[in-house]
Amino acid sequence: MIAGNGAAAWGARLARAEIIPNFPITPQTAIIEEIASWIASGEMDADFLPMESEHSVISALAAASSAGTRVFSATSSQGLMLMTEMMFVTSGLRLPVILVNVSRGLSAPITLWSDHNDVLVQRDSGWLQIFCSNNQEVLDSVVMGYKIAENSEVLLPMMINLDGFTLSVTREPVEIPSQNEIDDFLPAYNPTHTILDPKEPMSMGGAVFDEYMYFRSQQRMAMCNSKDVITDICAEWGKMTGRGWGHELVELYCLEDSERALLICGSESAILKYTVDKLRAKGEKVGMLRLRAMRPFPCEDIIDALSDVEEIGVIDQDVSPGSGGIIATEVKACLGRSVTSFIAGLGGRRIDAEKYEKIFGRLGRDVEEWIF
Amino acid sequence: MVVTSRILGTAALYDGLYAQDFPLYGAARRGAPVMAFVRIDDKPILLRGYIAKPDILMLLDESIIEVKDVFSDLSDDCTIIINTTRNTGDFKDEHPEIKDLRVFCFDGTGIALEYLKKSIPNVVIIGFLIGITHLITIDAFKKAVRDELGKYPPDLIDKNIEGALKAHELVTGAGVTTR
Repeated sequence: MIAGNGAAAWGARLARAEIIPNFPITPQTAIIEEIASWIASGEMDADFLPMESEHSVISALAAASSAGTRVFSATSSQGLMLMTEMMFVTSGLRLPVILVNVSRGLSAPITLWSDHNDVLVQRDSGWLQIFCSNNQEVLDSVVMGYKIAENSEVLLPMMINLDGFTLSVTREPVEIPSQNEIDDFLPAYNPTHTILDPKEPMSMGGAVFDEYMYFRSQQRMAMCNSKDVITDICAEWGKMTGRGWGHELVELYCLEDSERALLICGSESAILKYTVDKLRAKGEKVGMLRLRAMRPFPCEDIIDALSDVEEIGVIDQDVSPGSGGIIATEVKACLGRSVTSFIAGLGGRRIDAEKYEKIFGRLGRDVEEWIF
Repeated sequence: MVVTSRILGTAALYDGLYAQDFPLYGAARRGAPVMAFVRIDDKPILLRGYIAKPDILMLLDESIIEVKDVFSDLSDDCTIIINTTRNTGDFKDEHPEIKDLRVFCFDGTGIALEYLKKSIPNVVIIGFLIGITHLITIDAFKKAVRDELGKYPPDLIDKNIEGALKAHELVTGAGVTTR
């Protein structure tokens, strides 16, 4: 029985992360505490660096990664906001940093509960973004994350999101792979593209003029490449552990003959699956698509899975005031057709199976609806 | 309360079941109202978040009734276990909203004081719960207590288990209907 926070810590431990800069913030702190206790007891061989802010944490992550070490940290909400400036630096320097975010609504007013606006503020930062639906997936995604991020076709940092409360403090059965198994799957990080070495000095991230656009196009290409890399590495992981992750970039649930479908991301998808099962038992042709990857955005997979579905709705646990649900907007652009946009679960507001049932009954309209 | 939920979750896992446990609290300080939830099933659990209509409701401290309306909106087949020195008849008289539910009052604090010399009935109450519901096995319970209380002295762990077995005996000895 392991909570989502513990699962994230186990992922870092199994991946043999060597440098752990950190700063506490609810509901993430238990991840760092667990790692601290392992380092103290000698169960994990890593340097624990308590920093003075999240800005320093991400700076240290980038610096240590530049020196060729495997790095890990975790943050949440306001902490992630404080990292923003250096998020772009980290992806621009093409550093395979792994950062876990425990999603939590942004202030004001203060909430400690899950909400995806914190992650989506970083949507355009050039980081790969993966949303987890359960604690096993958290552990698996952290370990796989290093192999994806360090792949020479990718070389981008990755943010792995787990939902505050519904995963972070919730314990459920999690299988912990053996260290030998992981050592075979994930060899030590061996950077060749960018490394700070006093014997062979290198300048990184210097001022450029026309070249800037070239660097950005390289980042875009790496993001495109990452789709196949994620698929391949998930397949390899699935073969080793017996746990594939659905379609890797997306998870499809009962979509083959669906007339109505909802698109969602994160741990709320479990309750939605429960609702789909319940409605299917009554003969209703409903299904679900869970977005695992927000970046790269799996447009082709969404088109493949949903093009024959008559009515589509998108659940956003986020909002861009003045525009609407952030994911709904992207899905509309991807599919080139209207979807019903539902804003729900902001600040952890409860969405139970009855609410999902109600939502399934309100598809087929090109509107934005708030589900309180 | 959190420890109680963790023991139940871990024990269910030892029994070969699926489980999910989590706490819910505001102020992270001792004595503040705390809720903890456990889901147990023989198949993977899809539901998440707090349980609005529990099958079993346990109150470790009856004074919670004064600050939180815990008895409203329960399902008709909810079983309630209350740590109190009052008897079930008196308790139901004072709380007519639960008069048709299966309610079990027991003096968990009394047993805890006897075995632990401390008013901490968090593990003791599980013995009573097992006696009534057979939700988990005694063997799994004992293993789970050792896991979850691992950081405490072995003597204290043993006394908690003994207290819980005493509570279990109270139920089984009294011939309460079990399922």
